[in-house]
Amino acid sequence: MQFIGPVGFTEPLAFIGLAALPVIWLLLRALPPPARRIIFPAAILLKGLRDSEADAKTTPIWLRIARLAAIGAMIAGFSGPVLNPESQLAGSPSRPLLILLDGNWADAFDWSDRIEKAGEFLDSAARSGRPVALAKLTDRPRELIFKDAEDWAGTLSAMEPRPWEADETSVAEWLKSAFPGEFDTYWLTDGLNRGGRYELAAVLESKGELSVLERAEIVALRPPEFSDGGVALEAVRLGDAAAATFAVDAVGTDPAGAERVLATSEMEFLQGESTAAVRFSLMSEVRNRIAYFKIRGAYSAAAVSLSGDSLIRRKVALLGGRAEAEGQELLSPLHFLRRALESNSEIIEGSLDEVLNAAPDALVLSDTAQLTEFESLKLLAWVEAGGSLLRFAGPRMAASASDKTLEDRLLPVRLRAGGRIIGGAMSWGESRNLKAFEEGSPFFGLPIPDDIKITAQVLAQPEPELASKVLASLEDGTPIVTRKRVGSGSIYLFHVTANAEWSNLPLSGLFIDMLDRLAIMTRGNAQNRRDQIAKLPWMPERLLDGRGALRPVDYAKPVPGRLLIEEDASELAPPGIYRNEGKRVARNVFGRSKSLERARWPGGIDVVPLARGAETRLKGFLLALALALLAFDAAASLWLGGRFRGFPSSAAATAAAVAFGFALLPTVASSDDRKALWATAETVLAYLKTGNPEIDDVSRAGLRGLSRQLSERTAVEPAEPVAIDPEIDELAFYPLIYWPIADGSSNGLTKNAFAKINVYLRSGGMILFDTRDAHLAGLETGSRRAGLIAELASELDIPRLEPLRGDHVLTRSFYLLSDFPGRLAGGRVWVEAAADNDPASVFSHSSVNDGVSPVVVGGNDWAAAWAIDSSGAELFPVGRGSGGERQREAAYRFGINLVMYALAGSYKSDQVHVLRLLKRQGS
Amino acid sequence: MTASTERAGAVLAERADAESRLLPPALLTARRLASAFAPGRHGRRRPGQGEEFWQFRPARHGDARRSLDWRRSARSDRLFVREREAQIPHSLMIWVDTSRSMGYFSGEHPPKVHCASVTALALALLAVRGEEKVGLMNFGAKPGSGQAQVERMAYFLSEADRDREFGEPPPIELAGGRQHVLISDFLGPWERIEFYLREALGAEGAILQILDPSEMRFPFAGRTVFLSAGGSVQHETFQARGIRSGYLEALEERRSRLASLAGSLGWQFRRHLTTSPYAPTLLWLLGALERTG
Repeated sequence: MQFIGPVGFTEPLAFIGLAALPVIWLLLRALPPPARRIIFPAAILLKGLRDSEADAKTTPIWLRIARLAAIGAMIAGFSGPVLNPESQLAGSPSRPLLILLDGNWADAFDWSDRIEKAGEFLDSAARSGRPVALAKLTDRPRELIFKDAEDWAGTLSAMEPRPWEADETSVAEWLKSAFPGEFDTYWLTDGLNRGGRYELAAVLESKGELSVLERAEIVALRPPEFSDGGVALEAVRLGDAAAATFAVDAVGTDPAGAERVLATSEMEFLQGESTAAVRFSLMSEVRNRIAYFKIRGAYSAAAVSLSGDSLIRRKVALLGGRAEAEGQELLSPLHFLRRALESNSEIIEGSLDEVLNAAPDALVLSDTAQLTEFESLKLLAWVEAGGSLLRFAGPRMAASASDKTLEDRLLPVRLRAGGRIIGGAMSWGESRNLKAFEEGSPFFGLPIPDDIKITAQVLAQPEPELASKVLASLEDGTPIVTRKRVGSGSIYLFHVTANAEWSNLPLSGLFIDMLDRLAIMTRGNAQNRRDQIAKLPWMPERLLDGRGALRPVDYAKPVPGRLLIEEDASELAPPGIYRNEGKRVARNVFGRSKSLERARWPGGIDVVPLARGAETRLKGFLLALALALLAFDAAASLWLGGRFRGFPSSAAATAAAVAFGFALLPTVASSDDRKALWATAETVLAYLKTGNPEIDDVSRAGLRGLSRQLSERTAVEPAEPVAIDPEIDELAFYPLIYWPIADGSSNGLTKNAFAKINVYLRSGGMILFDTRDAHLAGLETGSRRAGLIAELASELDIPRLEPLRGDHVLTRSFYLLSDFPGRLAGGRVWVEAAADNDPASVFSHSSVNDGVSPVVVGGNDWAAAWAIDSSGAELFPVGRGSGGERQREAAYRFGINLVMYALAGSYKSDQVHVLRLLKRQGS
Repeated sequence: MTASTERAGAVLAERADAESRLLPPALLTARRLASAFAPGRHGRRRPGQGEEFWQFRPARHGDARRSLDWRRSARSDRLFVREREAQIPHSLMIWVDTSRSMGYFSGEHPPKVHCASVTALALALLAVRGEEKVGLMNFGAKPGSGQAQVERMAYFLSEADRDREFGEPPPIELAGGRQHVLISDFLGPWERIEFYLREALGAEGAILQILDPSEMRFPFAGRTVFLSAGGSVQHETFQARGIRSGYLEALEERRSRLASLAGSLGWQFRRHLTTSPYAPTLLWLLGALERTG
């Protein structure tokens, strides 16, 4: 490659062509534009006239220059100029080249730059014909194969970063033996210090020349933590030291189950600081939903911090058996529970009704609560719906004969009356400890302290299923914790008291671990938690990819917990959310203690900062320039030759320029006709353009959704909805026009538009007015938008309206409906008042439109309920949960009824009389 | 089959073709045009032989007895003679240049020969309606009268004179009571035109020059070779726009020469563009004939 300044040329020989330019100049000079031959009877009069313009015989000089420039640009273009070319590839041209990428989460921040850079190396190698191998440290190939650079292009563009870091020591080992010969290396690295890094560099250097290109611009989030009632995260950065602000999103599922940003907070790195903190103050309902935090605009797994269960604080309701005596707090059956739970859970206390209304995750009942039969049934229903009921034994429970069947149903096992005392002063035996937990028990793996003493317990009646209900037992095999599944919930019974009366279990750390395992509470004690995670197998639920997207896992093997608590994520335990029974743990790229540190390369290694794609190929640009010049030349020649006839000469030049510049612009003409053709060839729902893009988009999406439902459920298969402007468009083609009332004046319509709408209404059209505020009762009381409707009505030919009655055709034109919700519910819907036998009403719309109301007025924001995006996903939440889905369904039904009403008119009105007709036939 | 019958057959076929092609438009246009004019027979504005009453005059010695108007005479003591307006049937001789030069047209305009034919035929129709005789000078045809004569003229006019590049005025017979109308573009060599026109000294007539708009405006640009209709005259220019003013001057000179030549003959001269309406030209022609007559 040859260089002129910053420009290199791949085919410099093409410049020999420049030598021909002087000859071309002379040729052009001698070749004026060809003459036209024109028959002209008055030619005889031209005899003796001389050309006045001296240089007319030759081409004008500016045209010649333009032509030469075109040829010059072509020659320069074919010489393959490259601006800022990647200069000579390192090493000897005879050696193959290895392009090495880290391919980890740190690379993901600027992955496209790295791919582009690697692509430039591939191009350079292709130009010099060197064989290339491309490898990524995180997925190292089995063997190192050097092949043509072109063969790698597809591999390169398909490369994706991984959310873990490679073990570079092993890569170094592998490289030592992977390829016997020499090769040069370009290593595009993240520039972080990491084990094995320098060994790898040494191996690469031993094979040939090594060039390291590094860039480290990293912003990483550490796992979230509770702090002062909020959630705090720490972010770490490397690279830019200037002050910077990032937005951090907390993402989780909303009540409808869709994942969305639940909260956003700002995070500010001060000048020169490498850490920043961000805080979220959230209501517990919101906080419990959070799945992960993400730095907005940073696409890397390190910029995502998964929370798993760590932010979930369960609501636990405590229900004491009896009013506690004052001053006996330590004896209170709930005291220790309260202490165990208060730091990690939300505790609710109160009457059963009160606590059930707060929708607790778990409910703790100490000893026998005095529940009425009705309350017991309610409690049972709550458990069946998924609640966890945790019961503790007590003297009262021990004393009560278990003949009350209802009470039995709130216990996992049937109890023998009386209980037993062990190791007391009057008993034979000694107090007992717990037996090691069996595999299959949720407590499996918890260490049992030696000093636990159980002195009293209630005993279960032996029964066949008893064994399956036991979660923990004493050394003598008597059950101490039992469980029964009821519906989708569970009832647990600790066969001891919740205070220290019968045992010292509630005083031990084991007690807290057990509560944790039962998912009654979640806990933040990191060390304990890590130990527990390590002991269990975990199933990946959702995994992060290198760019920080959380994807569901289709198939995966369980991952041993010890891998999850390792410092760095690896291929075996990639970052993501893992699950074991009801518990979830998060494996983050960036742990609490991980630090970022720049690599310090040993001297002698060529380290260059990775610069964004500098190489620019100029060939296309130059050839385009040559083409443009030739086009100009053609136009100019035509003009000079007088070919642009009928134009004044300046207009001809302008026309040429305009034709050249605007040939690609689509024609605007006759779009009205096309719209009309479209509207008449299909059934098309239309909405009125308000000029407010948000409202228009919702209208469009809403009608699209309704059209889709119509196509699925009915014989009406509308095409894509259209926006109409009554000012311009013909309205007659549309059976139904949706008119959202926007805040502001009356849509800025002119008299002409109103006249057109009136014609439309009188000729059988239908308009659905939607104030979108559900306060259409305000037709009388006057909400702002209702005022707008009144304003519109004064211009429009709208008949007298009345609230939609239960026997209106609209309630039965397809579905039988009783209410008409949209996104909002409850607003009244108004239609034309039914014709009373008033002779004057002969001239009303009823007679014109066969009793079909020309307007339907409401405020339930139907379009928002109907709205779907192009992929069919609903755009706006409606109501809550399944009730919301019912409301959306009702909205669609209303829409379908409305379209049927608009299309089929009063066809179904006979149904109103069906009962009477049947009765008449019967009599 | 002899050569002459063969030729006659060819001519017939050509005529049939011409009838369907040129005659209907030209003649129809001419008829429509003529119908808008109602001059009828135009009197000579002096007493003579004719149908129309001109004046009563007192009888003089030598008046024939039967020329007396008894009714008028009875109203007074004197005898009156009823004089009639002189209505000698004049002959109108028209020459329409049908050379190739006249076949030229630019853009959407009709060829010059078409305009010339329409004007000539409309004039002929009006003359025939005035019971005058009309003849076409092109082929030395004798003047005749009646619609049939006009149709015959139309046939003749439909035949372009392919051999000639420029039209030359035919020899003009100096016969009494004849008026001549010469219609051409007069773009041929000036000497020939002048030579023939000078011969017409003593005859009555009018000259109508028909030009195409492009000949008037010279809207050409760029390197151009201008060829006369037959290709005998060539002129090449590298920038046609540059010689426009020279051309316009030459054209004006040709016009002024024609006008002065016509003036020296006592004839009228006018220029007509193929794009302009016929009526004013026709009106002018009628007036010109009145004046010279």
